[in-house]
Amino acid sequence: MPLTDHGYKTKNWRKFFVERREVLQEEKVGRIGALCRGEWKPEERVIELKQTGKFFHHMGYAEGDHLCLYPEEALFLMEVCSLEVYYAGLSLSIQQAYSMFLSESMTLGEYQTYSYLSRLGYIVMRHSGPSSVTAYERQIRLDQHISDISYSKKRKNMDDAGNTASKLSKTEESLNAQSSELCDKIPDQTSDATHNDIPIASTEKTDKLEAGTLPKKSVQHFLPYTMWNFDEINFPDIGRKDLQTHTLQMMPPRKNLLPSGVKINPNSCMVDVHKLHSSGENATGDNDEDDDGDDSHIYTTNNLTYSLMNASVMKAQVKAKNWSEYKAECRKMVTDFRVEQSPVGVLWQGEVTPLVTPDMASCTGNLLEHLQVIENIHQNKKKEKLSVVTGSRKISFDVFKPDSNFKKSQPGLPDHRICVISSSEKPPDLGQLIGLQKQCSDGVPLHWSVVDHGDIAFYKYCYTSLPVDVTMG
Amino acid sequence: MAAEPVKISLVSNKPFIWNAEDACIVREKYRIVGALAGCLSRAPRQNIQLGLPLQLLPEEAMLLLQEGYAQLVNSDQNAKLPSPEQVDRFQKMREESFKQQAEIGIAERKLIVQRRLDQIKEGRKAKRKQRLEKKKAKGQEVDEEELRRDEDKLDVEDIQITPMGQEHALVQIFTETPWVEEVDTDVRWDFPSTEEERVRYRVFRDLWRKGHSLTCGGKFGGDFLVYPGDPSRFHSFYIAVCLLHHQTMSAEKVVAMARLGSTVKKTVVLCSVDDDDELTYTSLQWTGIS
Amino acid sequence: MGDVGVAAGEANWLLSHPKYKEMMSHGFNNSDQALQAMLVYLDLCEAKQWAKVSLHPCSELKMIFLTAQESERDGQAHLMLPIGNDAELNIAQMKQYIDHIKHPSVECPSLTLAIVASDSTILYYKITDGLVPPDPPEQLQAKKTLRGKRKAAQRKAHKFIKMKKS
Repeated sequence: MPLTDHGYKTKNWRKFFVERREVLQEEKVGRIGALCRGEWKPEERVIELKQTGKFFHHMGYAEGDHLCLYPEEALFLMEVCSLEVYYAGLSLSIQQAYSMFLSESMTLGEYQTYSYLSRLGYIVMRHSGPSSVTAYERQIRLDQHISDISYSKKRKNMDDAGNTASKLSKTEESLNAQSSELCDKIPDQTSDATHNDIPIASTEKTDKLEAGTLPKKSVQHFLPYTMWNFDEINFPDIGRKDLQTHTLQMMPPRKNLLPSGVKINPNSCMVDVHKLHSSGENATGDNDEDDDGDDSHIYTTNNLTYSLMNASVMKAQVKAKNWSEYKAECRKMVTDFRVEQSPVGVLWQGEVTPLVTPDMASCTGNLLEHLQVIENIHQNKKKEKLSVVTGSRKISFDVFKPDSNFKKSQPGLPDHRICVISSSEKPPDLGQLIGLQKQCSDGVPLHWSVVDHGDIAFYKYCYTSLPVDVTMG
Repeated sequence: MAAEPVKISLVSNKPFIWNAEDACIVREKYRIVGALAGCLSRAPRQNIQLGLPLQLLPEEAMLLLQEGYAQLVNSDQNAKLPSPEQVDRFQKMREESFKQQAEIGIAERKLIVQRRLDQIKEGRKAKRKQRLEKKKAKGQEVDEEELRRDEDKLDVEDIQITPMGQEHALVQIFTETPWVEEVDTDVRWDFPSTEEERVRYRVFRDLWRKGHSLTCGGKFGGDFLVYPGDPSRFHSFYIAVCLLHHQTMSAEKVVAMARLGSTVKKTVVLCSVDDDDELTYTSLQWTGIS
Repeated sequence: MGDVGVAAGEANWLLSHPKYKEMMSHGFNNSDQALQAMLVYLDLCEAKQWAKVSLHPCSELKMIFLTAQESERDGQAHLMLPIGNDAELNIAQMKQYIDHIKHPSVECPSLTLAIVASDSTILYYKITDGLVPPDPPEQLQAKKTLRGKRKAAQRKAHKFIKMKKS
């Protein structure tokens, strides 16, 4: 049975209500001299300022000669008693401002989130789309020197692609200018690598490049393998037409890679090129082997087999229109070949086949990956596979920590991004989540502000990747 | 005792109370809690104690309206171009305020002057003496009488007080619109409109009539939090989850809800309206057997 | 309905348990629930060492339920209804359970749902008609310590048995 009124009307409790009444009845009063004045422009849905205030360094924007505030900024300033907004000669009440300023483009929930964070001292700005400054540019602090487009324009036409493009081209120019010097110092770079790639080859950088911020022609393909020094690795040219002899001298395997007690006869490092060619041309190839009996003697007696089999198989006639088709065809042939060679080749004959094929056995990790029937979706990779629906979900705000040196023209990377959602709505699905994450792939945490009838709670989705336990390879 | 009904108006179709007195009355008299959603005038930059307006749950607003404690006020006028009459009222109000402030300002100045009259007299005397001394030093004729003359006759009224400049005047940013001429109660509000909303509202009303205080329960994954008294004094006892009578859920979900309840030391209550149109409550608790 | 039946398999000794056969003899044609009841029965008897555990049929619901009490001395008997963790519940159904699961020897306003997972994990949750206020903090603490003591005693007993065996 709930307690009745009389049960708990203690002194303390009454005091709480008296105090509450007192603070709620206090009105918002300011000195005229300290108050800024603005005028509500209902058509543009902005508040035009008569003079700037202290708040202008992290709020508002300039358009031509006019200083303007967004509705949420003006409403908040009214609530903290820093601004008076006039409309047709009337100083608006906060009740009027709620009714006038809030709309589809700035909902009540969004405003409540905005004011919640602003009250705590955060600098909250409308979401300005993905950062046009790459992680690398930030790393070398280039972003602090880009002083191009005026901030006003950027804020006003956030979705205007032309602007971003012009900014980008400038960024690029400055980058190119910088790196061309570097380029001279490193002469033996591949010619089609852009200057941008020269200073670093970090994967972070490549990610950014793929995001389409900078031209994409680069040596990305080789980047993961730069641990190899190709100058020191000698590739035998088995395709040379004018080959004098039928055999090629190969590099002997390194000593430390051989089992102990095995000695390599230099003669054993000979490869019969002719045999390779012929075995590729006609699959049987037995006859040819007989012809070159002597060489095959060297080849087999020493029991040194080179892993050139794939290459020779691939040389079989492959009809393809383009390279990717050709590669796919080759891959398929290798697989088929391996399967044929496998003692359990019969397994692939039916409709139901094993998840892995022998040619996948390059390392344990690779095998495990193929055994995973339901793929893990990583937030950064493989997004393309999902049907990405952003739909009604949009990022509303960029949030910055309080900083006296904050410049709205160069806000830098926000500390948080905020999506606003009502507690009665369905939570976002995976497609929407990935879609939003894809918009800004710069690692800034995305928070969900759940608005429940004036109550605000922040939630965040955390991506976890399950640990993979690979002990071999 | 029929008190003046509390005014509720809609912003973005959500019910709000804008008047401080009204906000206090609904809490103290009618056990309606709502959520303060604005900045507190005294300390606007914090989130611990918020200020007006008071946002109500739709159930809270509907209950107040049905019980006759409140009336729904058309707030369309707030979004419209102010009428010349309103502007006129506003300007008169402001002029009046300036005039009053100026008068108060002068009165206050006078008080200060009165208190410091002696100091002022001394100061004036010293100044005159200095001036005369200077004259004397230059060998000019000086009226010794003047030097000795006292300033006893000086009065507050003699001292000129400059009126306060208008930039120092105080103005108020009103929370509730003060220049609405007449209350217009012609307004439509579609609540409750769905079956789920109807269940929610009936549950809210029933629990409230049983003497509980309720707030929204989103933070605990339910529809309402149910308190045995005012939320400032008690922890909530129940997490009310409103469901349709035949709405199915998996046993796992039941476990999840009950477990959450036991973790926060509350009882999860499944609420619905049965086929005979009666409210039913089912409490869900962890047994502690493990 | 439940995976339990499938997982158990035909050769399962549970199915030849006299209690199971007894349950099947009620002719409810509900082997899944009977099997869940069997698992709960064993859990209460063997793992939890409860007292006076017995199985009863409920002809209205065509289901098996249990009555049991935590110990001989603790007089409070519980009504328990085994269900699968994949069961779909609604409020109407829960009301039916509360209304129909009754036993003359047990006076208990609430019904304990024994939710059986396919790996035979069992969770016990109590449903009661109406509003049941949460236990006040002191009582909660007292219950906890009581349970703790019981558990410690159980562990001791288990240890003792083990030592005897070895």
